[in-house]
Amino acid sequence: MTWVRVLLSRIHSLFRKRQLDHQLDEELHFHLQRETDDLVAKGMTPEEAAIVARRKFGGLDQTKEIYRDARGVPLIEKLFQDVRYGLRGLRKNPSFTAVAVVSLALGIGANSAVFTILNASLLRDLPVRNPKQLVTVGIYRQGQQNRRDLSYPSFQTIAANQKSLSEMAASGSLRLKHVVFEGTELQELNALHGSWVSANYFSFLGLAPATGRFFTPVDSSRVGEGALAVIGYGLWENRLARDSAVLGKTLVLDQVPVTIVGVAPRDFPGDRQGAPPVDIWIPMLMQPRFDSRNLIEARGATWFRTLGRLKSDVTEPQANAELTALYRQDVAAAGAYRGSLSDLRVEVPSYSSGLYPQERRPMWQVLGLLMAVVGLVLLIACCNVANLLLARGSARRREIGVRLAIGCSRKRLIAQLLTESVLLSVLGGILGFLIAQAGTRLLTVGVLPASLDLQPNGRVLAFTIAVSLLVGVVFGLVPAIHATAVDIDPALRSSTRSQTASRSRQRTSRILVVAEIGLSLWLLVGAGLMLRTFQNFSAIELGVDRNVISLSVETEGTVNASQFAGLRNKLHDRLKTLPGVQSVSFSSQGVFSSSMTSAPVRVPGSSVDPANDPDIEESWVSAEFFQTMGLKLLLGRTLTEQDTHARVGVIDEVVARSYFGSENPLGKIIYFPKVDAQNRYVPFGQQLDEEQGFEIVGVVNDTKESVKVRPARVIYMPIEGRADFGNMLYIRTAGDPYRYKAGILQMLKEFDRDVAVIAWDSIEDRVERSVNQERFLATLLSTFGSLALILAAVGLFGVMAYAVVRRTGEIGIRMALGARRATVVAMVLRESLILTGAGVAIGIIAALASRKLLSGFLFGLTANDPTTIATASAILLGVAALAGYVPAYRASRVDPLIALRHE
Amino acid sequence: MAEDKTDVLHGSLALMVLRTLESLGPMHGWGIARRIEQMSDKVLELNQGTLYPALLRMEQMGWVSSKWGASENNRRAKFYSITRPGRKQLTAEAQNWARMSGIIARFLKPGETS
Repeated sequence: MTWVRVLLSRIHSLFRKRQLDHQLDEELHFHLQRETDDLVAKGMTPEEAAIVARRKFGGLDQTKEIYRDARGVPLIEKLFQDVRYGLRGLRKNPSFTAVAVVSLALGIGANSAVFTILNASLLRDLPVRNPKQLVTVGIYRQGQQNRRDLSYPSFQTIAANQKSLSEMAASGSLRLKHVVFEGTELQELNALHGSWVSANYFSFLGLAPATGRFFTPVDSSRVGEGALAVIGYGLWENRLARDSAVLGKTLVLDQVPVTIVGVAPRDFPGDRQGAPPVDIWIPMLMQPRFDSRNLIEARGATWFRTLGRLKSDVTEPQANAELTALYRQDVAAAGAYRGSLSDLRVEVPSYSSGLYPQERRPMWQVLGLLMAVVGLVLLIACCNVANLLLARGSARRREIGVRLAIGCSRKRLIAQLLTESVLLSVLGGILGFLIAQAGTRLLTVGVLPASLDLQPNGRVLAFTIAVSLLVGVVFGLVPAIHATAVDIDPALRSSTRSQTASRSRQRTSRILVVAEIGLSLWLLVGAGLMLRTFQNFSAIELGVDRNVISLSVETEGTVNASQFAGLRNKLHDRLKTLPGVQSVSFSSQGVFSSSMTSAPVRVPGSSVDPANDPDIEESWVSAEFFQTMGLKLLLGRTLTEQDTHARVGVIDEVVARSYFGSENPLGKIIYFPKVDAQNRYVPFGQQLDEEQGFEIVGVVNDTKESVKVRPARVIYMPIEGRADFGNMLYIRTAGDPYRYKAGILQMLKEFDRDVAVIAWDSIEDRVERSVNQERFLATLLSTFGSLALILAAVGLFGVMAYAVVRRTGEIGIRMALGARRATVVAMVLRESLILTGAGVAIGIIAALASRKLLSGFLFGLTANDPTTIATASAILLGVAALAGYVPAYRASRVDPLIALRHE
Repeated sequence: MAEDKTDVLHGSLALMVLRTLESLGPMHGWGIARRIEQMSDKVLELNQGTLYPALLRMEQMGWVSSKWGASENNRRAKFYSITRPGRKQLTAEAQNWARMSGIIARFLKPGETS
């Protein structure tokens, strides 16, 4: 452990430098004095003695140097020295420093921002104990991509018998229509989110309550037991004033009273990343008390997510194998599954981030692409700063020459220049980090889920610091090597504008500019492609008027068909009185609701093979529906008030085309299957019952759920005869629906307590949501593309401006010999356009060569889209011409007399 | 300058310094230098300056300690003395040295072939 002692004593001495230096001087002085005295005593003259004493001693300054190095920590001392020197240099060149630091800040900031998003969405673990152990249990069927959850009976069997996981827990989402606390309704537009959880859920996750307690298996061991609730921190803070007195009080959830026992910790929003925070957790065995259907005992009901903790000595494949075997046994024992058991398998992928693997993959693709893009932006910034440093290096040739001449080693000089560049990049990194933290939210507002935690953590900070340091070395090394490759003699004698030695420097800086332009063209093309993809998607019509609001409603209590019709009419008339409301209609299982049901149909006379016939979606609508939605009637008529009990339907174009081709579908009959007591379809018999048929009276245009899906196959039938209020309410407004939102909601609230609005959506929102990823990519790519363009322009400007300064003498001579201003402008401009042209050519080649990278994200155009490439090139050439024109103009203003005297 | 004097190995310099301090008690730098010079019969011409970094290193290792005091001619001087770890080190180094020189001596003994 002696080295620790040594190091400590060395570090300690750093703080007492002056005192120690003084002591060393005194000690050495004493030595020489003593030696001299001794020699004089032996008979030398004092002068002679002093010389001999010095000779015997050896180099005094070398000794001190060695002594100091051994005493302190030379690395740190030199670093401090270099940093101080560097800072002084940067302060003396404020414009150079500002341009360099801002360039780097933009580059590093872009990286920091994207990494913040990447970190928040993919690298951050759920705030639970040992998140790395968490896995999710999913069932897959052979040949199918989507994962399914377990049913409660299977969950129980597997949890009781498996040995791969240390524990299993479950959670599922719970929709609450009403949340009443002390007579006050807290639920509004489904803003409060509930979750079913197994009784061991909280202890399984290893959470500690903010206050109160969590459930335990003792609270809820039998079906229907455990009328308790744990509430979310947000609900507690925002609606219940963080009052501890709420513990033990009653919350009435859809008429079921439960007792609040605890509050979840502030940082725990639930176990699904990106989902809205959970406000109320209820033991899952309570489910039958909330719903007439008992999902606890139903084998077909897979309504919750199963989580587990993988034991440390079990691998994922081992766990997959064990759980698959258990699941197959369970399914076989229940005898419910008709297919082959070997088609079923269970997988337990990691769930540490609260995302399924199939959700992580596309996110990695998008964010990986963005990381690459910002990497390029940073590279451009680096080229820029390297160029500035090259120019500065040649301005400092004399200083460097002097330092080399008086014995400074080249290694030491390079170290010092690198310290300067790292200093720049660290300053840039600090500024960039601040920009990133401010900008990330701004760039992603409305695109990323608001619940995503974009607060920077240690990982973001470490990433930014690492990037800054790395970047400092990357852009600093080449200029440092160039700057120190100096022939001392000419460097000392000639003026700073000497030509010969700077030729290779010039070549380097031109290559850098061409690279910058090439890279930024590449990014511009990418941004352009993404922007046009976004436009192409946004331009897709869903087939309905964009000013339509769709409201999901739920009604309580059962009344008969005519009472429902009366209620609808009353609501319709009331809503119509509101300003801005143009049309109101209702549907049961209508379009844009999450619960459209589809049925297999028979269509006599059509050539469609019933075995390969996709189902048709049923939508029961009020007569005004077609007008509200703005559907276009293509054939026949729409439904009317008189169709109340008529067995008629209106189909959309896809359905018409698929069954009748070019034939006229009007008057044809579509037969639906009968339904048994359990609400299941009965297979068609030989004889089609007239009761099952609907006569086609009209054809309207297609509709789509979102821009990226195929048109829905829908048949619209009259809602009037059904004993159902309808679960969708559609309102078309004059202009932006949001202007009327408050009024409409207020009216609905006052209208009838039994009609609750549980979700609000507009067609416009629906379109926007479905192009979210494109908007995200388009926004970020165009931001970064513009950034790249600006950086490249600054780079080109810098190089050209420097070239003009360097050539002032030459330009002066040309003008003295009669060159006109326009000629001078053209000469300089030509040079910058040659550089730009070379960059553009390289950029186009790069864009074409790498077209596969983006093609998966594009829509409506290919990655080698000529319009986009041409536009990007034109923008770049325009900006470059501008960046080149300013120095050219300055060159033409050179006064030959001054220029020549300057030489 | 430094090259034309016999280079004194770091290890052996430390050994000589420690031995000097052990036998003669606390001493300042010049005294130590002089003692080494005398003992080596001036064969070993030490670059006196190199003594000071060596003393510093030995102090950092904890083998010697230093204290300012008055010299024999009443001037302020820094006196070094050997510490307990220093004595231990001296014993170890001395044994090591003896063993090493024994081996070398055996190699150099005339007339014996292995």
